[in-house]
Amino acid sequence: MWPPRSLLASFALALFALYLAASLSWAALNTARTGVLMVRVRGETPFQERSRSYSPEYAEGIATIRRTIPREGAYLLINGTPEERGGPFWVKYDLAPRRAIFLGDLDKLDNIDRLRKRMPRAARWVVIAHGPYGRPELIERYRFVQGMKGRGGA
Amino acid sequence: MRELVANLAGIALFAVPGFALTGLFPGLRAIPWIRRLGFGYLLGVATVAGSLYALSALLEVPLRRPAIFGTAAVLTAAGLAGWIRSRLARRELRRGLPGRARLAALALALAGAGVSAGLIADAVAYPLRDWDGRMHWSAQARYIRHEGSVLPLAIIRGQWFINHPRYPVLLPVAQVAVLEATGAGEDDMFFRGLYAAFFPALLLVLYDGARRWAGWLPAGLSVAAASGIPFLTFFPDGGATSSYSDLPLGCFYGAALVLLLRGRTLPSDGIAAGLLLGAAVLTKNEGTILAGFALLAAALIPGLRLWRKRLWRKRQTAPIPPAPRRRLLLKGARLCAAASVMVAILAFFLFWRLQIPNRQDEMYEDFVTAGHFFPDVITRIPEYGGQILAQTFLTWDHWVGFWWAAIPLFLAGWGVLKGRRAALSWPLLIGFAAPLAIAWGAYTVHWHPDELVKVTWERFLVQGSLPLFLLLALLLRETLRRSPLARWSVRLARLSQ
Repeated sequence: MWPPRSLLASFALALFALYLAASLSWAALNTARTGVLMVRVRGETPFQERSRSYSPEYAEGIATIRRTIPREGAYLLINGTPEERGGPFWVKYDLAPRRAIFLGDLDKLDNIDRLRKRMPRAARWVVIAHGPYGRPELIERYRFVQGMKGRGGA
Repeated sequence: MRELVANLAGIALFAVPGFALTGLFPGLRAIPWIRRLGFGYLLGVATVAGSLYALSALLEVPLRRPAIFGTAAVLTAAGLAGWIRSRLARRELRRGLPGRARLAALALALAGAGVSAGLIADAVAYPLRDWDGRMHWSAQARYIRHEGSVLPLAIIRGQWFINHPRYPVLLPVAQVAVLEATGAGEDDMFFRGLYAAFFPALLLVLYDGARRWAGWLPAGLSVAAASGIPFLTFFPDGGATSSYSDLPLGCFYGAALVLLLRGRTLPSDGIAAGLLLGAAVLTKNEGTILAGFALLAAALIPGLRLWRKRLWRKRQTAPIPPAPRRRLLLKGARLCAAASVMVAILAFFLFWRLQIPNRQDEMYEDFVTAGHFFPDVITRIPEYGGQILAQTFLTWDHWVGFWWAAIPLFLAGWGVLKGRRAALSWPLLIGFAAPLAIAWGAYTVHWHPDELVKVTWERFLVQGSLPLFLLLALLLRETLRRSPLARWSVRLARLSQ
């Protein structure tokens, strides 16, 4: 015994068919595009891949910092672009397993004495993240402190 | 080429032991092998990564190649022993489809397979581009890999900057296993295939449950519907191309629910479901609550039946007939087995978590006060309700209009909530609603719920995606039966029985 047929059921199925047509076309397009890209970029090194996806300046900046701070090392992380929240996270990820202490936004760092108390001896470098994929800056800790004093943050 | 091979090898590291392990569970052995691959992959991640997590936390075994290959080998051998003992290959459940139906099913399956191939291509062509993956999950994996321990100094010493240090790390451990096993360099992203493979696993488990409960046509349509949703697939902040833990959590939770709701009641299914629920606990904080909901959803219908039978017995003064009584007892045993395994894994997780000082975390529990929560749970809805509606119905790049099609289907097929299918449809509805209930609680206590909705709402929907699409299959079945659109729908619905 079939249940009574309804117009709503037809409408629902028609809408569902429309959805399938739209979504599967979109998925097919994305799959094809990604497949073509995979073939086109075959043989790329991880550095080239990162330069293409992030930015050459960012990839180069991270490589330089990695050469300076050893994997067991630590650093102080500062956000140089306060309106962009993701920058410090990407830098922290790319520099891991180097350990980080996050000091916050650059424009909010004012009291250098209070700041010094938050700086463990192990962290000899300061890394400032700029924007989502701007070149991160590497500064020696004592230079950073001098700079802050010069800026009137004492 | 090297990236593609390494990504596939990373998937095999879990798929092979997991597939072998299905041999230990008679309920899983009975599933045709392609569908079983989905459960196998999930069991593989749960057991290989879960064992490594426990070995490192309890016995300080370094997470290096000997431990990784040793664990995978032991689990594979245990599974194979189960296969040999049972000699069940001959008893495999085979329910062939009629010729034309087979062609249609193949076409629908190709949609899922094509999208899955695209996800692997994405894993090979791009580095990680998501937010939470880099902020938390993959960063944790780098600290864990460096020290070969799930308790690295960066996490257990409170001074270092770690977001959500007490979040469970099953997936970061799985990442480490892939990277170590494939000898990956610092910037090699060979673990991305591990995440991409959760999507075909979801489709296979979905097809298995939907085929059994709704027939091949609704099952195939449901799989095709899931394949086209950007937020589940190519979306960089939560889809299978990201290293977010929401899709894996949704797979573990949903697959456990499928095993707990199966009509064929085997207590051993309960152990498999318990392992998957345990994996949910070790995947994300919400996993513990979802595991509780899964057990509740599975207990709902047998519990109601038992209660009704007790009432009936009081009136009739006769015992419950032996066959239903046995079925109820078996369902109870399956549920107890699942709950026991899950609780043991939860105890392990709490032990691991105790050793980590918390920082850089929202700490939602601190904001919950009964006096505020209960009026706020209703009164704060206007603060974020509009944002939820806009994201659900008006963001083309997240859902491609899926919800505009799903709501009329629900209205047309609501009959599944009554009669014979109610025993399935209600637990599935509860299963889908569980992550949304967690979301509701979080938005109630958060200081900026509209902001939180922007970054979490779709991820909660992803966590409930398996029960949602299983329910969709039941709704499609009912709607096909009711539609006068074309005669073929009736014939197809008949064929799909």
